[in-house]
Amino acid sequence: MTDKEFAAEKTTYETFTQEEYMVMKRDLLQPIQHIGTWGKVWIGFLITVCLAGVYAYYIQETKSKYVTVSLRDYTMWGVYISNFVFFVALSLIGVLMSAVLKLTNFEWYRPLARIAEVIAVAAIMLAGVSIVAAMGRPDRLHYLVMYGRIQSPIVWDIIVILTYVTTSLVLLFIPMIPSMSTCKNHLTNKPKWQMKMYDLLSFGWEGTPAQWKSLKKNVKILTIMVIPLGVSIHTVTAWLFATTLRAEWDSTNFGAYFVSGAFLLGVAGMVVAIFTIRKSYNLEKYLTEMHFDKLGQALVLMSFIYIYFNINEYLVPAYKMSGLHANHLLSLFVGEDALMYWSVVLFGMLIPAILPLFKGMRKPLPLTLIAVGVVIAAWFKRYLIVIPGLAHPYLPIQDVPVSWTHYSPSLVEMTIVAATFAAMLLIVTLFSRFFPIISVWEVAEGKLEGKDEIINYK
Amino acid sequence: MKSIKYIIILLVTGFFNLSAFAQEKEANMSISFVKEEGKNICKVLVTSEDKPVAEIAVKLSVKRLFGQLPIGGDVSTDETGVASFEFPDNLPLNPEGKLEVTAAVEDDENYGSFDVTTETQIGTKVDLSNLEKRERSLSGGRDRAPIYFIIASVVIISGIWGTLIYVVLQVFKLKKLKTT
Repeated sequence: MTDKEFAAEKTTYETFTQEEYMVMKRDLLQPIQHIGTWGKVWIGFLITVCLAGVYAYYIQETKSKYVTVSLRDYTMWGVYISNFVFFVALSLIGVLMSAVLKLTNFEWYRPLARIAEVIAVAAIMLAGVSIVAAMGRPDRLHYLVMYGRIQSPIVWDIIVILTYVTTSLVLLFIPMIPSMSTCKNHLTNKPKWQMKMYDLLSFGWEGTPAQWKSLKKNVKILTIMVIPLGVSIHTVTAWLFATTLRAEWDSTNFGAYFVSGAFLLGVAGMVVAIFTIRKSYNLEKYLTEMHFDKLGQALVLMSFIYIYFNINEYLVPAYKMSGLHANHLLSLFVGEDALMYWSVVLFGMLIPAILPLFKGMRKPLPLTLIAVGVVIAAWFKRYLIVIPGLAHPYLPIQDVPVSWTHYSPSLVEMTIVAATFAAMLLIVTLFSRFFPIISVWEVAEGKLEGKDEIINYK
Repeated sequence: MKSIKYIIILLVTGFFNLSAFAQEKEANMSISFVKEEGKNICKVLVTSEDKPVAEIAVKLSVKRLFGQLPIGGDVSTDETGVASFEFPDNLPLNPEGKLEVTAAVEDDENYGSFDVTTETQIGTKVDLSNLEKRERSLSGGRDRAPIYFIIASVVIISGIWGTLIYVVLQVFKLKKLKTT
């Protein structure tokens, strides 16, 4: 390298290190440094909804479930289970938006990774809560361990959820260790316990080459491991249905169908999340229009894949229209669930597949509106997968009570579902108020060409 | 005054007891099995005060796991007080090799409800040795999981959790990698 070249490169680094890096730190630590009035109101609102959910659960468990929930012999899985499937699907956001992009060297993943991982952790936790809410006898939860069969998909669901929660938590935490050091060194006017927490969680981080090497190796191991785990968790969830004797779930397509739906939801969820975060915390410099453009393209791809699996899932049985399939399919296509079904097809598949093909629709606001539609449609899609088919059992009973043949969730059920959403948002919100929601070092590393230079910046 | 009250209560309850006794006469039943023309016939004899009771509807049932399995419909007793049921010989016997057979009369206007239970060995013995020989399968019980499935599960679970534990231990070692 000539002296001239060396000087030019040195200047680039110095300019970056001295000013830009400090600005970056300040920007990305700002949501922790200061919580405004609206921020507090938002947290208060979420806590109130969560408490309402806790009270509704108390009512559900202390009064007769026949009165408090609408579940009956036919529709024995209601909104709790569809909500569980939704949250499991959402939890795959971490796999797609962090792990897959990281391993395939898509550099624009950097500011998105931690947002995706914290949503994944929150979603999978709330999936577990939804299952417990659905249990007739939650006091017998431990029976699954005591008497469960290793061959049962339900036991595997428990195993894979616990493993995925743990892996996601560790994968969220390890890249945060340098950020803990950043918080410890740069945050001011924070309570003593909070600073102590950063000190403890930084595990003596100094940014030595050996520490960076160890950290990056461990992150890579987890990143590779979380992909098959994430795919497994949602495939096992699909098998819970596919291995149950119900006409509408009798499909070999179910695992792939669920995973593709989860990836579509993941992209849409990410769009909504980054739009909200960049607006709330003024992070337009880091969550740029380029990210919306890329996510818009991903949304199109995922929509087409999901449409393909939907065609497989519905067209073949619809062509045959045999017995019980006909009952279920006709209620979706032209019957009592038709409005919900076609709305889901429109907002959850067709619009996100077509509109973002146009560049103007990949701008933050229009893309976010499309993504909000996808997220809402995704929840109703899980409702349509779980509930309507249950009304047509293999062995229909004569003269069944009307309440068995029609299901509409009770107030208690909807309050608990609303509380799970509030709890998920609360976890993400509180996380962003205590830890950098965008990883300072990962963004800085992406900006620097030579990756080793970041070592000395704490 | 109090004693008069007790006398009235005694008289009223006594009257009702007497009237109930007057309405429902006591009857007895006995069950026997005979073989007629190669068929097993269950005969239920209903008597009252040592005389046969005719034209009374009898139900016959066998105890199963979750309740009583009816054997045919209601059969009325003939003039000899006997109700005859054709009794199948293919009902699975309980682990003791017996069947619990119950004959019952329900809500008869003269005799009310009463029943009698007996045991018989007519039926099919269940070969329980099959239970012991059951093969391991995916649909088997907790203790009958296929060996390959158990091995694969243990390898996968320990592989993933082992890696997780290794990674977490590396985090605790970060302090040792400091410069000072």
